[in-house]
Amino acid sequence: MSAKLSIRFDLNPENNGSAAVPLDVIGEDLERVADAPETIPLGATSVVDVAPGTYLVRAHLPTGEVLSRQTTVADDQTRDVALRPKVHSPRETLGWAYYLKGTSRSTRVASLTAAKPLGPTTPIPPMRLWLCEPNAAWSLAGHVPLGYWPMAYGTISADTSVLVDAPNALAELRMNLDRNRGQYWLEIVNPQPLSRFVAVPTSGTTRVLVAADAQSPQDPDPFNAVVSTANPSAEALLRFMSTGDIASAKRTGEAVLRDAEMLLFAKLDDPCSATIAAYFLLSAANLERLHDWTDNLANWFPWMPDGAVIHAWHLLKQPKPNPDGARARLLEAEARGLPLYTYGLRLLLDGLSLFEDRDDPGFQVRAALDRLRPYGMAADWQAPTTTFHATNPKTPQPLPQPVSSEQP
Amino acid sequence: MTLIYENTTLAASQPKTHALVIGVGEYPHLKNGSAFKNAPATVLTGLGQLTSSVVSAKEFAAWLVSDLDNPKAPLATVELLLSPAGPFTPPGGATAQVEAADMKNVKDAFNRWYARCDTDAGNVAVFYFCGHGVEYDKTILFPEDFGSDPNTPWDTSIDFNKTFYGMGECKAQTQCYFLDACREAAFDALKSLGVSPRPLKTTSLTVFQPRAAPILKAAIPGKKAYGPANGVSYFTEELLRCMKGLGADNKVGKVWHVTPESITKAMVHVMSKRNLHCGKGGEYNVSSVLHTIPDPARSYAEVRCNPLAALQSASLELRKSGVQYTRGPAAGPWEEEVETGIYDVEVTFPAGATYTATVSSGEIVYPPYYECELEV
Repeated sequence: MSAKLSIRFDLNPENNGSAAVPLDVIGEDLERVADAPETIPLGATSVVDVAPGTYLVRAHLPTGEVLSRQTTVADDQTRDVALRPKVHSPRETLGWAYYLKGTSRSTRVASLTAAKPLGPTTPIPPMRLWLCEPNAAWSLAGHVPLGYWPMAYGTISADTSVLVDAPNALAELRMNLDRNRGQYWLEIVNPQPLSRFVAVPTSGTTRVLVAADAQSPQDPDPFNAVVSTANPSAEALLRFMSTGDIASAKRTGEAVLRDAEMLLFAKLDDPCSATIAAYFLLSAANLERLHDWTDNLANWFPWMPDGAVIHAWHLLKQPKPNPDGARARLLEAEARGLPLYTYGLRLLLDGLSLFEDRDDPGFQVRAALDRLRPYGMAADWQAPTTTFHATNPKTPQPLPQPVSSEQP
Repeated sequence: MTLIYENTTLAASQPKTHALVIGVGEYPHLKNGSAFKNAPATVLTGLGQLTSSVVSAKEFAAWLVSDLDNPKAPLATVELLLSPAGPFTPPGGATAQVEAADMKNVKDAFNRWYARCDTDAGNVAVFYFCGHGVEYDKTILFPEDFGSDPNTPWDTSIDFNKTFYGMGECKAQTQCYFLDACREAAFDALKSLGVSPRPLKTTSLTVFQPRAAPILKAAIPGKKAYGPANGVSYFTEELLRCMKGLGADNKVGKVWHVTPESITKAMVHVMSKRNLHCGKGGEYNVSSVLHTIPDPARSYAEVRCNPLAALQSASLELRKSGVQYTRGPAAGPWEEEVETGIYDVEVTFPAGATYTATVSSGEIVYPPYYECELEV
């Protein structure tokens, strides 16, 4: 006896590319069907052979939402199973943001469906793009949207019509900055009290969705910026890791890692995907998979601090740790700038602090930590790409804390 | 004493679970503390006494003793420190006078705990802390006597991040870190020079072994943790709910597993249900099981009607053999923690209602949450 489940997603799949998400097919014995695929690509239909019976079909989105549907299938029958998210992308072209990243910092799915704009017409905040070069040389690259944009940096387009479709989406930016690769930071200007600086990793076309995201009427940080490079699978993996869904990260990460290794081996130019894959490897995968390619990642993309951070931790975690090499790489990373990914900022801070009490010629480690710590204190540790608050990128500041009399 | 539980029946070669549980509610040198008037801490003076830390730590310790079930690494020891110091009676055990959680006692207990964990790669190390903490560029935890030395106030504070990496040298490949601490960042004070907390374990930088080492933290940096006065904190309450069933995954036969991955995912979800964040971090480089639960596990069920307004006159029932959950008319979805299993879900209405009673049979309820929408 046999039957089939034809599983698809009831969403606009455009721009999810080949991103795959974990799939569970659970039978009436509450055990997973052994032969069901581990993952299912968004935007495609997957057919799963099962025995006749009742099943719970679940897919885990990187946003934290679990799409589920119960179905009963008889012998020789094919049952269509449509998985529908609670939060729909208002446009096909924004699927990458709504299905892979999530547009709100709130973890409550219910709050996403009830997202309210700041007011009847939420003004689009002014935005600026900064370039950070080695040794903390910050310069203003341009104003967004389109007020001033030197062509030497690349191309940028801004679509503010998204507000028509979605109450909290303010603008979608598409940037291709390959002409002048570097560490770009989007400043969402918010003088009351501090702007939000968001790292914009550049690899092909990078998209940023700027959203109104006040968590309370007095939220001092009322905007969010959702960032994605052009590799949906890598971006989905990053989101799984940042939301703590390590199980899903492990189920999807191997494919991303394999692709990243191939890309680096072929010297193809996608350091961001390789970086995400490497962070996954360090945090959640078999460390024996660390190979020389982490050294290549650090050497081939000197504008990216993350490569040096990753190689430093590879040197520490290899069977015979190389602390001297790791120390040098960590100092190099800090000199390059701020890691573009939050996970990298954490590893850089932690790594340098392991060396601060040791022999420190020239007090290099302590000086690096003194420069880096203010960013750690001002960081939004929930954001996947490095994010901090400041009025000036050289002087980060933590958000003022609300006064509360509630006692833990 | 601090060793409130010890299972001496386990074979020496058997991997074991060893726990260190710390609850700090009394801080003499902080606001309203017994020594605050004459010897106040010279930093972070805005911090005060806590009423839920000891209650929470006791609750967690009691659960470990009575319910932790890991056949591959049975519970062998529980070290407990509380401030204020006092009696603790573990389930099925004798009352012990537990020592205070000052820095010296914490270090001594940690060293004993580390030595036990360091005997076997199959060991499971559990570290639980409930008390004050701050987030600087790292997580800093405060034992009872924080601020006792006005000249070096940070000597009695714990650098958790360095401790975590120091634990990378421990043979135990499974290490769980549960930090139920306010991570409020008093930035003005922290900007001052000399913030130098002490790790409980340093690293020689020669060993960083792969491990399953989840870190779960109450609140996110800059936010207070929450809990009722003199009650178990929300973080600990949810942690225990997850350990008891919501954090289960991957049923095999009649047994569910709680793993580092499943507990992390479940905690993020259940804390979000309270509109709270759960900080997370750590390493997940090896597969491991923390706890096993005999079937059934638990799931967080949400039942809605379409249209939603029908709930205001709906009577809802979830039932399976020998188990029934009900809710009367109310606004909003029905949220209930239930056993896993196969259920009938029924909605009925009073006579004359414009909605249609409905039953959905064979609903599979699986952790960590289950959702059902009934068309009426």
